[in-house]
Amino acid sequence: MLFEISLVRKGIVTADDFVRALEMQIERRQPIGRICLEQKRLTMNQLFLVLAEGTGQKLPFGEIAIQLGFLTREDLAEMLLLQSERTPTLSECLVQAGALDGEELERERRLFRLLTVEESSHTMIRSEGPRAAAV
Amino acid sequence: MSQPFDPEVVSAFVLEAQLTLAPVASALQSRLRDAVELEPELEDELLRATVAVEQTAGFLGIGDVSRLSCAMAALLNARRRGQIAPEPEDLALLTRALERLHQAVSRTTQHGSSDVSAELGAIRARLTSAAEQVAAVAR
Repeated sequence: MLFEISLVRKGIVTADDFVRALEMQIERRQPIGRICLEQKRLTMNQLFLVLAEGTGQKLPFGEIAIQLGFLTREDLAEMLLLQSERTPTLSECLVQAGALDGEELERERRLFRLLTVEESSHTMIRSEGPRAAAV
Repeated sequence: MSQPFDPEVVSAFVLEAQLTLAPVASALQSRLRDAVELEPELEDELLRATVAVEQTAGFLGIGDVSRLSCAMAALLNARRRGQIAPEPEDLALLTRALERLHQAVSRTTQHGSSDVSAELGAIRARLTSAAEQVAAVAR
């Protein structure tokens, strides 16, 4: 997200593009319940019970499924990983929304990484003091 | 885009939704027949059932079922949170909507759909008029 924010700060993408890309990403994120059903980790009956139990509660779906004994933490971690793999990154959404092209994105990403590495080495020097910097 | 689910999953949804909605529908009908108010426990049970149906129908892309149950949940939530004052007519409205929802679920196939526009329109009209009343009081 920091990289995409830097694109807005540099004026490469607009704040509107950023919001549109965020909305696109949220829209494309598959619900955990759907993934559990598709991966046959929950039966339809268990899915209904978890959803009904979650009504009016602030606990996330996965936590309720664990509380009800339908999923283990390992199952949930696996499902969350799948969810994350299937969700396009914010950068991908920016490209898909036409805010910038793939080539421009890669160039900016390389620049951002360089600057981030440089920034973190400066921070290290500052925090370790002048002796460390002299070494 | 998401892959459609196989017909076996959709059939499992239809069965589970029918099992979930049937007892609530019959309880609502008996309250309506006896002209008894909707008690909070039954209202909660109805909300839980409609939310489970709404979200699963949403995953499966069953638009008519998802839209109608979403509208019902919105009305129930608004009553529960005190955003709108409960009206005696709500029971008839919810009973009618639940019957239509049950029917729409029963007719569900992967590409099938039902006409839920009348019930959807009635719930929206109820929510809109309640919102207008709140706005008028605020003025």
